[in-house]
Amino acid sequence: MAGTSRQRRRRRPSGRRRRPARRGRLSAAQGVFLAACAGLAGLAFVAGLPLGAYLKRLDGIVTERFEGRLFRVPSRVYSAPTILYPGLDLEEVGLEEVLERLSYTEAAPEGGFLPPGRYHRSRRGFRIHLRAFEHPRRPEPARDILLELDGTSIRRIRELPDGPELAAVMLEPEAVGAYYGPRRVQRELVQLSDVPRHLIDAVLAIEDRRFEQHVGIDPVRIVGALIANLRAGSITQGGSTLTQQLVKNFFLTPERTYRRKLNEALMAVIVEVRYPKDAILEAYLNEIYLGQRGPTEIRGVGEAARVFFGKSVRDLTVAESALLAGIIHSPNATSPYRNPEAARRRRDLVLDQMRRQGRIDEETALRAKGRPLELARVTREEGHTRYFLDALQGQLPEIYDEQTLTSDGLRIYSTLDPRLQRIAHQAVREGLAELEKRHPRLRIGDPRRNLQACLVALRPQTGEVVALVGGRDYGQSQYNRCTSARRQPGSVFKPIVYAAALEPGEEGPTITLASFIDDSPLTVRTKGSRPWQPKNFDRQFHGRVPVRTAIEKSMNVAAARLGQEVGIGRVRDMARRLGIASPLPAVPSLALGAASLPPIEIARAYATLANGGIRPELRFFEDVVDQRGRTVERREIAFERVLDPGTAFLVTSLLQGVVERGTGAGIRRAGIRGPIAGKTGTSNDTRDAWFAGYTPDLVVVVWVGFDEPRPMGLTGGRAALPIWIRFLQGATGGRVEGEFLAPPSVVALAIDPASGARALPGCPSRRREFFLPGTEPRHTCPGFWGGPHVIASREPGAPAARSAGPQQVEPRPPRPDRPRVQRPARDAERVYRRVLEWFRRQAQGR
Amino acid sequence: MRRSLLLAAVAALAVGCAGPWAGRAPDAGRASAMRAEPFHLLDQVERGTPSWRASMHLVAEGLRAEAEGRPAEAVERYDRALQVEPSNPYAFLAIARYLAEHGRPDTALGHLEQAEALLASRGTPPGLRAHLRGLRGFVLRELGDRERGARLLEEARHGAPEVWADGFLDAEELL
Repeated sequence: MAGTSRQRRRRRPSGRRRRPARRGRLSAAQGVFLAACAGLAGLAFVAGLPLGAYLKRLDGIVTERFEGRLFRVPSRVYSAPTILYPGLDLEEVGLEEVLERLSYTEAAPEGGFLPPGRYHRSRRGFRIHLRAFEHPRRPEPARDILLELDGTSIRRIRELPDGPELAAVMLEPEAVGAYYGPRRVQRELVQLSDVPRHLIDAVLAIEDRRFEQHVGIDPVRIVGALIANLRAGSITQGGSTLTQQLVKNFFLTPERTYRRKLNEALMAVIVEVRYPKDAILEAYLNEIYLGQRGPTEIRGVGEAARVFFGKSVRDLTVAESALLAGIIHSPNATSPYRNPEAARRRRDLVLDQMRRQGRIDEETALRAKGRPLELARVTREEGHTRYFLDALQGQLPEIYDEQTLTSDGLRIYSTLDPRLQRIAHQAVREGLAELEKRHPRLRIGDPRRNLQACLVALRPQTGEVVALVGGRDYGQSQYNRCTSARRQPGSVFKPIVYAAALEPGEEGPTITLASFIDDSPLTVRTKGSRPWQPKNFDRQFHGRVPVRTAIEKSMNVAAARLGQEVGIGRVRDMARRLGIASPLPAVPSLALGAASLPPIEIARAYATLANGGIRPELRFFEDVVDQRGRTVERREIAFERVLDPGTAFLVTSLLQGVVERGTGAGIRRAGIRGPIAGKTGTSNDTRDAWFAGYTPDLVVVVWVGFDEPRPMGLTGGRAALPIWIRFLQGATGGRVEGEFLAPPSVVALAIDPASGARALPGCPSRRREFFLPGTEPRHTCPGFWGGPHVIASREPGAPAARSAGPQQVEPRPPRPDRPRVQRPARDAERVYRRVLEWFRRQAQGR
Repeated sequence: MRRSLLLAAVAALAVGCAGPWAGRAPDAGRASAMRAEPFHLLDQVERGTPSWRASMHLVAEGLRAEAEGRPAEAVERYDRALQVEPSNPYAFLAIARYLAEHGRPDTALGHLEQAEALLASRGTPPGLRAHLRGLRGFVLRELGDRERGARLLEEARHGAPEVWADGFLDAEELL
């Protein structure tokens, strides 16, 4: 167009040069005629200029969209896949619910054939025709399998009809969420080559039968619609072609005015002139609105096929294609879920049109009309994964910003276990409601200031975060308390102090599990601050107490004294090694958890203890796959050994005692059996309540408190532990499998609990206790020969548990404040040595 | 007399056969302690809980996939094995082997540590000790610690000569 104007401008000068020569030969009438023609041409030219400019602007809009990003596709997040294997209890897994969430439908086999995406339960067992699953690393073929059952458990898995027996099969990962932009639109992009011919035929038959012939607008339809509208006195009928519908959805508002219709027609022609029919059809099939899934718009036939029929668009049947084409006209009024009869009528109408237009034969139409609707169950997108999704986003590299995540249609395969996530969400919601019911003072009228909680669960061996709930309601508050809140950990920090004390230093460990700690008044003086005098929760002092009792009863003074003895520097170092990354103040009260830490860091530190001293890197996802099916990001399992396995095991053993006899005993009272280790925590003035605990395969941390810290009047054992118990009950059915196995570097032997000395036959009481080699007690309690006995250490010369001197402690006779970690049977040893010495002298005749 | 000569010849032959090995052993005592029945992962598959068995089957599938030249699928199987049974040491061992072979010894070392720790608690099968040692030796050598690496590899050769003769643990050799 621009080129044509330039050519005209170039020609004009020569025209003007010739004009005077012609003027002389023209008659007056001719002159008037020519002047009139020139005037009309000029008028047309002047009037055409703005029209041309207008068309150029519309052209710019069209090409910008078509040649840029045609669709913004939210990135989807998928769970870890569900794995089925012989011996697995299907009730525990909730197989039918999983299948429904994956849009599998129950259907009886027809002539022995069960199509992909269907399952059937019979006396023989559970037959599932698994769909094929595309993934760069884990492609799975479609498989027809039979789960033979023994009660509710899988006895064996066979591939049908006569395939091999399978050791394990994987279901597809569940879609657990997506990163939506301002509009909640979800679509699954398809290429025209993936779309079955009968779906294209169905759409064209009912929406635009002359699509192949027209140039964007269909005059026949327009005239028909105009007549109908004039008769009705308003716009009641559209004559839009498929191209016009596409243009309207892409560029225009849904208002019904002639101006909008004119724009639509002009742009449709531009689209048709510029782009091939196939590209227009593909864009249309990906853009068309086909209904709602809760608050989310379903756009495009790919997404609709997945939601309505639980299958890929390429697997649609004629009847299903006709149904999709039928509801384009009015997706909500003819929704097959809300109005199945209307949907069926529309489907049959489409089938009739297809037959009339010769797109299908009579028999095919009849057969398709005879099919039931066979819809997959639409499950609502669940909101309880939002906190997890936010945390996952935080772990993605920076290139995956908001724009990329909401537009690029990435597939992110997460570590989330949907079952555990659901249980976690329920535990937090119900646990908080129960707390508020029991303690009405905790109920605040303003939902934005409500009592809050967070729960994070992870696998210690792999660092996979399997569940995370960052608050009670994401709709009310998106603040993720698991990852962003910095709260005082209180006593859940103590295991770090005990780990530092149990770890052998140059002079051996500060304590062993047979040691005693002094829980008597303590005053710690530090330069530039007031003396610190820790107190126990019960406001009492307990004197000399065994190490186990000190932690089981969460004695503050004993822990503070131990922290002093070990040295706050070593405590901080231990915390860093275990996985605490936040700043830690170098103050004596750190031993009692005087720091501000996010719960996920506590979870990581406990995971290191649960994993025998090997610190796992936390991971929320395994890999990210782009729209072309390429892996663009991968997060692998990674570790670092930061603590010797023996010390880690000793701490676990201590924390098992907390659950058996201490502040975590509510777990046993709730009837949960099996190996569990854990610790309660309560911060100053009961502003934060915690329980951090683990089984051999799962670390779970629960925090409860107000966002604007205020006292709750409840300890961790009263506020956080019940939520922890709810979660574990749901996750394990109250039966924890496995065991905490002692590493070979740990020695188990019987001791006398009263003295901490080694117990031989004849000792009044005995208890099995664990030691690092060379730290076992060298003394025995009074045995059958009537006196204590010193036995040789396994490793002569190896340091026994030492009792280090105080550093910053007030030296005051009789030094009740002195940090004293007492070696077992120290006094008895002294007496016994003297007796032995006396016997030796007698024997030598001195 | 003739019988004594025959016995002496057999003894000399035995000493002669042992000679080359004895000469190469850095720590003959440790090596002979390590020597045991060859380890086969498939022997461990049918033991234990259902989740353990499923996990072991997945590890075996992964090793087969590796042996047949499908490494991505193999890693996927190891990951799933850990999903089913997070404390399966053989899955960590298989991943360590894979990472070591694919030029990532630093990451392999972490997995090997994890495998060793989990095995140690349960009791390491005697035949597996040579593989743990050999793999550690291989990884250390790749990380630049040639001396320790060579020593451990040598010990592995003595413990399982049929596998470690080439200084390498193939995927199918674990099966």
